[in-house]
Amino acid sequence: MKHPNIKLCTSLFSFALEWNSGKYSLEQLMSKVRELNLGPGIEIIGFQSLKGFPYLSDNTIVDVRRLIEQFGFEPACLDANVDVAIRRDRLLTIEETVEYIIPQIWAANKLGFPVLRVQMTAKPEVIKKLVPVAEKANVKLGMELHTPYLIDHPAVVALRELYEEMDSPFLGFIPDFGTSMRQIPDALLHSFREVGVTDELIAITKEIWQKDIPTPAKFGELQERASALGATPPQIGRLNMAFSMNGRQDVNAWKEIIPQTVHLHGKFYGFDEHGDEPSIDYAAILKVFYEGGYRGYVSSEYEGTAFTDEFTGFEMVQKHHALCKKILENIQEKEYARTV
Amino acid sequence: MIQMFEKYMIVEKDVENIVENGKITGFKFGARLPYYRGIALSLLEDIGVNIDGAEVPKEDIKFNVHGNTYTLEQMESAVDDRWNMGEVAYIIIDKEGGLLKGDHQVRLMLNMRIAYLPFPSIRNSEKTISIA
Repeated sequence: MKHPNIKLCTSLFSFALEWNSGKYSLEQLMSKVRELNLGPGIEIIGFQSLKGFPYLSDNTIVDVRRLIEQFGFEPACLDANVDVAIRRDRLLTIEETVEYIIPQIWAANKLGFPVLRVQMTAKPEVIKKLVPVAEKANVKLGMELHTPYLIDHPAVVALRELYEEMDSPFLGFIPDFGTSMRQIPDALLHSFREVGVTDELIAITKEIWQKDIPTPAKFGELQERASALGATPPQIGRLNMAFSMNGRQDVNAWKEIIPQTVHLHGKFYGFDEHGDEPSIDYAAILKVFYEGGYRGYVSSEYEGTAFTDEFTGFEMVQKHHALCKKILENIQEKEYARTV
Repeated sequence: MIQMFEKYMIVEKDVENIVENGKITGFKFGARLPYYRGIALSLLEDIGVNIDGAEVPKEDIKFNVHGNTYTLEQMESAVDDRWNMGEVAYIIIDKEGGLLKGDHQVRLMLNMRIAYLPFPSIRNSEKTISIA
């Protein structure tokens, strides 16, 4: 693929376990990603990988830029966190949240990242105040649309209205594929068994998950039915994850926001024997974004680390890249065949 | 939720008695944050420690990260100090005489407040630590 519309990218989030084990420095991690040819894009979570983030020393800035250049990566996205619950007595105010994000925008600027991932805890009033900063820093704010934030969620609708009103190229979205899933990942279900959850409780969870009702209603129904079967609060907490992490949005729903899409989070949990992701229909999702005219990266975000250490992040991202590459090449060949 | 991080929570090789003015006043052991990124100390709602089956009183627990020491109460308002991912912090226990030489069973509980999850994130880990 000479000039692919959708390029591959690796989020260092995928190596959370490797990183946490203390066995890899940032340089060793990036070197390994390069060695496995898992670029060209690179995505970094500020609070995970960068010392002192968001107040980076000149040395850190020089070091990180050097690593990106030395390994031939293209800086795709820096991930901010919007920790509005940082205080114990109350949530951060609009103004405090703005102040919490501004240095993270400048960190993206200094490191050469064109996009900063932000989270829905940044309300529209916050985003509005950040636009002038984003413009000045030449950094696009990409709102991550992670479950439960489907594109018709009231909070997302309010943000889309703001985007329309501001009409700024510095405001965009980062769809997370975990919002459009076809089944609950096996790795997640297996982890439930480890904490004593029975097959009956898992079956109920899967059944409620498939229902067309809002997520809070699912929490409620699960609470009622699982407690009746004797499930403990910690077990119900784990089962609730199935609802909060796995969305059921129709893949075609993304079409409406493709023009504002600045980055993609290619979330994944595991693979079957054919190299396909059983819980997420990658062929269908990538086709929607490709045909909708999306230009940018799809970043491999391995989330299975949450439930299993059976696989390394490296082998899983390799499989994910292979899957995305196969699908994208297939789409482009078909398109080429049509145009000649 | 992220139970895989729990196995790195207790740094069992990093344990020692604390000696002040020639007297053993307590002990400390290393700990890593069981989360995918670093968080402000104020987001740690609670720390629980159990040694050889006995729960340590909250007022005897202190937390030390990159040289800064906090009581659990002081951590509540520590919004500007951060426990980085992978960074080894120390759980300090005030205990006259510290731990006796040999093996001890330690259980650590960390309760984190995560802004976007509807339930508390409680992580538990248990390991055998040794005092040389």
